[in-house]
Amino acid sequence: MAIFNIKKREIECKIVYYGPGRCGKTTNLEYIFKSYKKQVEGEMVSINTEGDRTLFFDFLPMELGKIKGCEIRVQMFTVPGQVQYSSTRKLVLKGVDGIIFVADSMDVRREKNMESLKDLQKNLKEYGLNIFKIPLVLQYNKRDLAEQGIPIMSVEQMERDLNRQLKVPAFPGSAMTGKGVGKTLQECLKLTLKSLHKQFNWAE
Amino acid sequence: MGISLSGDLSYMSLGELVQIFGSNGSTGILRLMNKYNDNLGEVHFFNGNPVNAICDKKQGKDALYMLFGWTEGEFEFNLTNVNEKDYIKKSRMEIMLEGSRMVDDGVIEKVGPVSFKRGDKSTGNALPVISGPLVDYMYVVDEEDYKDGQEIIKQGKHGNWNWVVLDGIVEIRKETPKGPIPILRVGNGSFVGSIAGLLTKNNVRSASVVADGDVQLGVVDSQRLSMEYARLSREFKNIILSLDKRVKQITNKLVEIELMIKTDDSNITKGKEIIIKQGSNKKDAFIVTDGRAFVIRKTDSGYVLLATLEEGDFFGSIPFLNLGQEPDSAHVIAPKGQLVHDVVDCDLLQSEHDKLSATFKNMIENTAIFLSATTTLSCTPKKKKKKGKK
Ligand SMILES: Nc1nc2c(ncn2[C@@H]2O[C@H](COP(=O)(O)OP(=O)(O)O)[C@@H](O)[C@H]2O)c(=O)[nH]1
Ligand SMILES: [Mg+2]
Repeated sequence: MAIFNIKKREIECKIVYYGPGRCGKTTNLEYIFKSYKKQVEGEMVSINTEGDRTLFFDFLPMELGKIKGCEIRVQMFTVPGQVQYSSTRKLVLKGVDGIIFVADSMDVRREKNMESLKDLQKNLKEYGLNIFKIPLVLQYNKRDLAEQGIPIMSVEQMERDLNRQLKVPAFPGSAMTGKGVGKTLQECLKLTLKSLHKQFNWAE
Repeated sequence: MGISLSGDLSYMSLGELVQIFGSNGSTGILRLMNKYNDNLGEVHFFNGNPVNAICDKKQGKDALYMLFGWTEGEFEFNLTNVNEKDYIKKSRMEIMLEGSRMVDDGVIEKVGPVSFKRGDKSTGNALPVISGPLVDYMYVVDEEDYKDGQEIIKQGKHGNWNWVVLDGIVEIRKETPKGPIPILRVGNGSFVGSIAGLLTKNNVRSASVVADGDVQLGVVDSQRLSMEYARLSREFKNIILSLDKRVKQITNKLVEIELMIKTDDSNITKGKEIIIKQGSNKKDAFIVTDGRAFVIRKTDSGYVLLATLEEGDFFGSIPFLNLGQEPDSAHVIAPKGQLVHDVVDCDLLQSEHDKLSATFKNMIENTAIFLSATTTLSCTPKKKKKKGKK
């Protein structure tokens, strides 16, 4: 649920990077923070959660333009992956406008990806949100590992595992090298904006 | 200026409020109320940023983080001028994430009915402690002090007195042939004794109670409560008696588990039908008029029998009773085609409940919390030793 701030002439929305632990959420966000520095406002907040860091920063994507003369501000979050952080995860997900689900391409993480996607669906449901309706983009991360001879799943298999029913845009990528990171975010922003237009009942 | 936003913290948490006031750039004072805490909590916002907070004797950032532990209670936000120094310099998003993380990590304690604090001289006991809301002194006729280790109630003796813990912690134990077994610990605001003891003349104590550290207890005005009890409808009394029965059953279950008496609950579902399914959000309640029913919880390691219900016992969801059993956390099953039950008029019970004194209500709530906590304990596989962080 985006917040429309008349005083600041701003629409504030929330994009969350979701996915199993160690799939590359933090790496994605760090890459964006570095390479889109000019569009970032303020500092990156980094909280130490066990085995992981939970990140936040404000992002002002110029290319999205304005809606009715209002600037768009995107709050970018990662969720903490470990089980014990359930209330923090819920807090971050509350009022989410768009989600990037980062899946790990490594063979051994196949189950974890599917579990995490189910978990996402459950959490969204608790907020009365539907995974089939919310702006959602998948990223098949760590494609670069193939070059090192580490077994990874084919894109086709990941599509079957994760995207057979959802049928949302999905991109292979490598958060480490930055490949596909921008593209994934762009697509999510695009979908989110479309949905905001609908929510506020504004024709484009 | 008046109140511009108010509500329930379990519905909208402090973390969410920080986000909302942040997005709106609000200036004003947020007041938090929690019945397990004597004082109000306050957070002062200036242009959407928290600039100061007050929680008991603490101020600033530390106070604000403590308030994240208030996951229950009410809040009220007043738009008003706030012109104090910026005591809190961190960004609001950092505060929100850090506060929530600290609660998840257990660094900040949740202020609610169950906690894990220790008694003054506790022997490293890690049983949970049940606390109750603030005590209404109108119902306290006398105060008594007990020294660490002193026995307050002896199992098997007759007695009808009830106490409320004013300060300190007491341990509830079951005496067994193999020595006493600790069941739970209760702290400030919690009742000691049994609600059913208000009714029966020759109440036999079903457990012992011992001071864990020095404690001060208040003797509850049993006469007044008994009179209140006497005025209740038969249905309401039944609910209370049946609740008390469940507490006794689950306490015995805990003893069996503790003594490693093998009770095989795995075949319990054989030849039975499900009357209420675990996890359903059925809002009705029933009373057994013939036959028997069983309350069982499905856990990762199989079924655990929580209660056996007979004629006169209730099951289902009573609006003011959160048992931690059915419908959300247990099945109710019965031998196929044999259970006869009536629907309970919950509206009637609720209106009767509304008219009870705060102390009586607290006693009922306290019994339900006790039941819910012991149920959780009896369904949690015993840990050999607390493992270190990975
Ligand atoms: N080879 C490779 N490693 C990655 C990639 N993305 C993340 N990693 C590594 O995976 C580990 C976990 O990443 P992190 O971003 O912390 O995962 P998070 O738990 O989802 O936040 C780190 O060691 C990263 O360096 C990638 O695209 N390729
Ligand atoms: Mg991370």
